[in-house]
Amino acid sequence: MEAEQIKRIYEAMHENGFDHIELELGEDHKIRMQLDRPPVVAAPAVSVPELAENGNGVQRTQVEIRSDKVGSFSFADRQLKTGDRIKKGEILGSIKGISFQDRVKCSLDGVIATVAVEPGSIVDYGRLLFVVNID
Amino acid sequence: MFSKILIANRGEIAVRIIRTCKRMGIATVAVYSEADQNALHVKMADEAYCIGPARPDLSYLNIPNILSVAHASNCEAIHPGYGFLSENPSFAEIVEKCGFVFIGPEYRAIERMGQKSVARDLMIRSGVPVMPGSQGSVETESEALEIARQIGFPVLIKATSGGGGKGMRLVEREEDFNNLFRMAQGEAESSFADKRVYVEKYMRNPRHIEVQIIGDRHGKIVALGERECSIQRRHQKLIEESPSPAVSPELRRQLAETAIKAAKSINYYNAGTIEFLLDSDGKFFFMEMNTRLQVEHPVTEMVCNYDLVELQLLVAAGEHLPIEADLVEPYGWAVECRINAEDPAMSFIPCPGRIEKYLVPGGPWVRVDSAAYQGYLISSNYDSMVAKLVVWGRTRDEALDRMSAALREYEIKGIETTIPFDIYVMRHPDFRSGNFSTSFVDKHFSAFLKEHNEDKSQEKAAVAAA
Repeated sequence: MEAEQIKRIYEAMHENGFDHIELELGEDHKIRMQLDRPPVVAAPAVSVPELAENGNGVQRTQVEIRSDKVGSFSFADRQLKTGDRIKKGEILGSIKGISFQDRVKCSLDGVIATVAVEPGSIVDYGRLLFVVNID
Repeated sequence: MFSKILIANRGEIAVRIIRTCKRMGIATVAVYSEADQNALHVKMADEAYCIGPARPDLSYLNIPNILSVAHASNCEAIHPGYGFLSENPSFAEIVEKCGFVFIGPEYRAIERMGQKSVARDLMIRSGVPVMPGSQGSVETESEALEIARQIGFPVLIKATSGGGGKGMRLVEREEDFNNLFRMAQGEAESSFADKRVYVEKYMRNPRHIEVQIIGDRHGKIVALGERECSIQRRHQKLIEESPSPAVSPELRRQLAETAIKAAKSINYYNAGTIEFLLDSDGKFFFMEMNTRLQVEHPVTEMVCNYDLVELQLLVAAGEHLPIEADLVEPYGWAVECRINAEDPAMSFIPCPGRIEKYLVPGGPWVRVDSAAYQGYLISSNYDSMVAKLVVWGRTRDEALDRMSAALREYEIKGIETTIPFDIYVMRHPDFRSGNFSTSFVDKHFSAFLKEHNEDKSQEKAAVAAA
């Protein structure tokens, strides 16, 4: 396969939003291409920080983490629940679509206020996944 | 048969498909954009998932998101409806490669018929009559001009990848040819990212006649009569009927045989439509093939007594067509008016907005295919069709009278619609006589406008007097 052809496939993958592709070239030749994309960092891109008041009258910032992909959701290392502390950069879960698996990452330190998603459920575009109280 | 399918579309056609699925016990999955959260197809489907923002390229054309929903919700097949991805061969191919059934033809058939000049050459080789013109695309202005001279002016320059009149230019005189050739190329390039064009003889005042076919995966292809679609405005159909007042039983048989021959030449299966131009001597020429369900399919259903979506599902599931004959003869007469959110008094400018009052007509043999309801907001993101009003009668006159009555009964407040124009056409002597062509709207539009404006000012005066 020519370098020019690989470049064209790469561009087509990019345009159509595919993360990987498998090509069969004749009977014994198969190639697999994987785009090196950064994981979805849902929090800063899709959430709106809000000021919420806790029981003690102290104001703190709340962040909604929403999905910008469509697929099946699963938690990462642990099944998160309200009150769990999460750290900046921690992988909260993943969304598996037909051709990709995107990690849902938290971009700030905080505490889970709401878990709005169940493992195995289908999340669609814009679906609320977590509400996080930011430190 | 499938137990669950995804409908990769919106509006009335998504609702239409869901209705047949409900009757057949097939579960449905709807997809929608953020602009369609309150849409009827979302409410009616068994499951519904948002696949992106209002912009069609980010939602209804978003192949990875549509396939991800189909995968996650365990769908077996995908119905593309019409428009959006329905005639995108890559989509049909990817759907099948991902293990779903595409409820439509094989992707190669879509691909070949989508290239208008390729389709034309294919038809010539299969012995289907086409308008005289170039073989395949033409490369240069001088080559194109030479062909135009041979076939004689007027000629049409058409985009190879075209449709809907884009990239198309009518050339009446030789001295205008080079200019219009470059314009057609430019428009083809900007609309379809493909500047290739071809040249064809232009027929004055033709009728637009199309044949509905459906094929199964075992080689059987059936023609379900013809549709008359000559009442159009800038290549957009407004009123359709079946049968056509211009088609005799003998001509119907010829059209059906030709359509079946065309479909067989590409091993076609599922629903498709072969469009022909018919001249005043009863000679017809292949124009193009639409490899999907058409907007106007209900008129065929009304006179042939088959549910086309059901047939699509049957053949997609690998079953045999339950029809013996090669041609289904029409019984009675059916007419369809497309009710668009457009202001006919302002040359059909789209006028989206909220429907404040909505009352649909009813009674025997009156069918309304629509996704609209009272309070529904017609978005400017999508096409302006509000509903399709379809009626049946034993005779053409009975059908047209029933349509006139139903149009007057239809109440849509809050937006302007094409209903006043439809009412005008239903009682126009040329339309009534059955003797009309694709030039009907251009010919009679100013007379309609005059009458419409007089009616409006009388209404205003009456309101003021009250």
